[in-house]
Amino acid sequence: MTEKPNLYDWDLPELETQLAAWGQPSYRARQIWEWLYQRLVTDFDAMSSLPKSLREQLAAHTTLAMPTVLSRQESLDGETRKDLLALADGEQVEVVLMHYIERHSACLSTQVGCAMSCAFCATGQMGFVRQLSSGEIVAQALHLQRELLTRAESLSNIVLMGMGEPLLNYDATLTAIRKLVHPRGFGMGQRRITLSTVGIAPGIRRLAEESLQINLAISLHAATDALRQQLMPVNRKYPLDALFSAVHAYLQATNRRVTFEWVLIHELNDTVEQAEALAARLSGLLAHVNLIPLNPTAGFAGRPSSQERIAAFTEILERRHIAHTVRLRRGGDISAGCGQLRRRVQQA
Amino acid sequence: MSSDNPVAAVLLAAGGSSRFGQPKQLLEWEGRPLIAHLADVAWAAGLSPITVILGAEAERIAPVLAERSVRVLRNYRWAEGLGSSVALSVSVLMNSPAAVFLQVDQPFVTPHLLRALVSQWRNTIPRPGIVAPTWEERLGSPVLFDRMLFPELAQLAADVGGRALFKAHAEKILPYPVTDPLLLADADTPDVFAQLQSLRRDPAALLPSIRAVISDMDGVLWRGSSPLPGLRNFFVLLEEHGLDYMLVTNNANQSVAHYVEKLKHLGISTTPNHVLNSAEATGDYLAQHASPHATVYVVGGPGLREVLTHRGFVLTDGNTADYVVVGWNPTFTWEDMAKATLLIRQGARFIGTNPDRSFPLEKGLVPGAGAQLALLEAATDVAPFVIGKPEPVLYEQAIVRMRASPETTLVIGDRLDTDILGGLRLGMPTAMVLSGINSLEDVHRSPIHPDLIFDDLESLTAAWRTRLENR
Repeated sequence: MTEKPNLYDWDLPELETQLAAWGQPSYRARQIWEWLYQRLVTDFDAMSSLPKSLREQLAAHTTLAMPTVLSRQESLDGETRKDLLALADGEQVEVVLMHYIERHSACLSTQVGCAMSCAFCATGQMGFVRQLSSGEIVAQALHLQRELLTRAESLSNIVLMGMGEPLLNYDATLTAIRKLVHPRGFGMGQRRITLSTVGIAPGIRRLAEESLQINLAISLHAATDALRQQLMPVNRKYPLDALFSAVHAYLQATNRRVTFEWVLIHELNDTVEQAEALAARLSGLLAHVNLIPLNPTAGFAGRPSSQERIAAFTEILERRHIAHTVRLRRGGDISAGCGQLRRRVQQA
Repeated sequence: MSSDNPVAAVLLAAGGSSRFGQPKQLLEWEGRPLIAHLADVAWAAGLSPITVILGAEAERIAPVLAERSVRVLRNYRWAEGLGSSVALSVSVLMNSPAAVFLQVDQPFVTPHLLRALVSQWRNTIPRPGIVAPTWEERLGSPVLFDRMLFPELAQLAADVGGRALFKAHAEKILPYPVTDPLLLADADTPDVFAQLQSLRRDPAALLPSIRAVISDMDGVLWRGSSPLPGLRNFFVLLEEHGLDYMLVTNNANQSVAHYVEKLKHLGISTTPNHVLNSAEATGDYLAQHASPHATVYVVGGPGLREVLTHRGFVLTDGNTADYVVVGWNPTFTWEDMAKATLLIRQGARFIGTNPDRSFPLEKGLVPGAGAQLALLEAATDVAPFVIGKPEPVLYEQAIVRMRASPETTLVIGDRLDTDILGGLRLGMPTAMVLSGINSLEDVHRSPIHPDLIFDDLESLTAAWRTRLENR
């Protein structure tokens, strides 16, 4: 890490405080903010509305740490693209861009690696390396947006579903979200942002009190403790009862629909018993289930559920009126599942 | 054009029948011409509109569809091949988000299969271009096409079918594996048709596999204050064979306790957990799906209010609410109607306990809950979500309460358009008794085809007992 602070890490009040200390008028902070998050410049000299002296001062005391692209993969249908990015200290994270019917969604990482060790996840297999700063999280979105703007397009959705567990990097993640939704900053609509967690119960309770309108997605994948802790070790710390008690609190505070992610693994969590247990857990909740046939990763023996089993599983949810969507694989040919590209590059 | 609009059906029936010696569209199946049978299956599945393409011998065939609500198109180029019929049909599908194409020679297709194709299509992202049933990985028919492929269907060469698109759009096909290959069987030749007819199960043969029963009450168990024949024997049979049961009714106004008491007077001892009315099912549905502090405006009787209060819902005076729940209410006023209308127009969800438009009193038919729903639908342009038969929720709640599965749960009823249709839509075996509303003549005229027909509970019980004991 460089000694100088990364300007992208500061929130607006921090920037205002620093500028005041330098004797700058207060509107300068908003000008800089606009250069960073709306005009997406990558160096201080481009901030042409600032006096040269201020630009020099910024350059002397701060950096604009943008990640560099190490490698890029595009799916055959051109709908999904994955970039492996190098951070200032050489650590690597992945960012995925998905195009779908006039929508461009970014999938951002919040940690280098992940400590959660979910059985089927390539990032989980690599272990935890370090936290990302809020600036490093936001910079991933800026990286994609910059490129989209050259085609007169822009990001329509952001999901924090890449490498890492966002609620275990809570402060940086929330600061990043607030920058992304700041009307003078990136200006993304709150409802277009989704935070995806493995179910860190205290983090969910804390998130409930943030007065945000973002979406919450929970990786559930199993509806009995026995199976869930086999797939997701975090379930030992926050078993289903603890998780769902936090979900109830979240729903009471926000009244915002919660999405449950369920990777369908052949003959493992696609059984009638699991479907019934899932329906029972979600009874009475404002919930939607996303069913995602497993994206195979090296290091996990599971296969995606067969069509027969997907049909039987969804039939049970249908009968219990549990809102659900089967998400057919996209970007499967480029291993867009997070953590997969980094592993491949490192193994090569 | 909203993808919430109903999915259409196209029944391709223009072909000639050189091998059959008579139009195969008119071969007899379950006492009806095959083409009428398939139009009925599409109707029972809720597909709309239903378009039938006729060609060969159209004049002879068209009259058998006269009493059905289908649109008949005539393909004068039928001899050029199936593609010409498909292309013609697409010209009338402009308001449909998708269409299921049925062949006239697939007699075993069920409403449940068609509904499954539609729900697979609705619940999959990216939205599939094609949903096709499969058996052992082979794609069969009927096939659902999303409207994204309508332009290509419209340009099909005359001598190929919609399957010509399968290769070019392999990645857009969602296979729907069926559990019984007979569902997809097609009768290309008289021999195969004869074989299918013989394979057509003796309907009563399904009785031994039944594990649970969902039965209507009025017209099945009793009429007025008198028990109907076979009542006691029926419950003895259930008891002896350990068959679970649920007695269900669309009536939201009589409490569960009332029915338990009524059965007691008729000499049958049962408990409240075996009785489900549409008010209870509405309460269960809301408890499962409404958010924790949802507020409800009830237009309905005291029974419905009590059921909802009991489940912890806050009932409002109609100035605000997340849900408007409408049940039969003999004191329904313009004021109630206005409050409900304003709330629904502001986005409250509109729920109806049961769809019955009328019910019989001694003086004749008088307005039921369905009439109130129709009135509010006219005032709001919003269709209600209805809990009672033939919509699925009431039966689904009954199945869930028994932990039963639809394939092995027998529906018993006396009304085709509620009891029996509800069962067919969920893929449940159905038994019609003629001791209530509908006569055998009604059954023959109706597009709703029960699996089994009995005079009354007594003959049903006797047939069932014979099957169980001669296994």
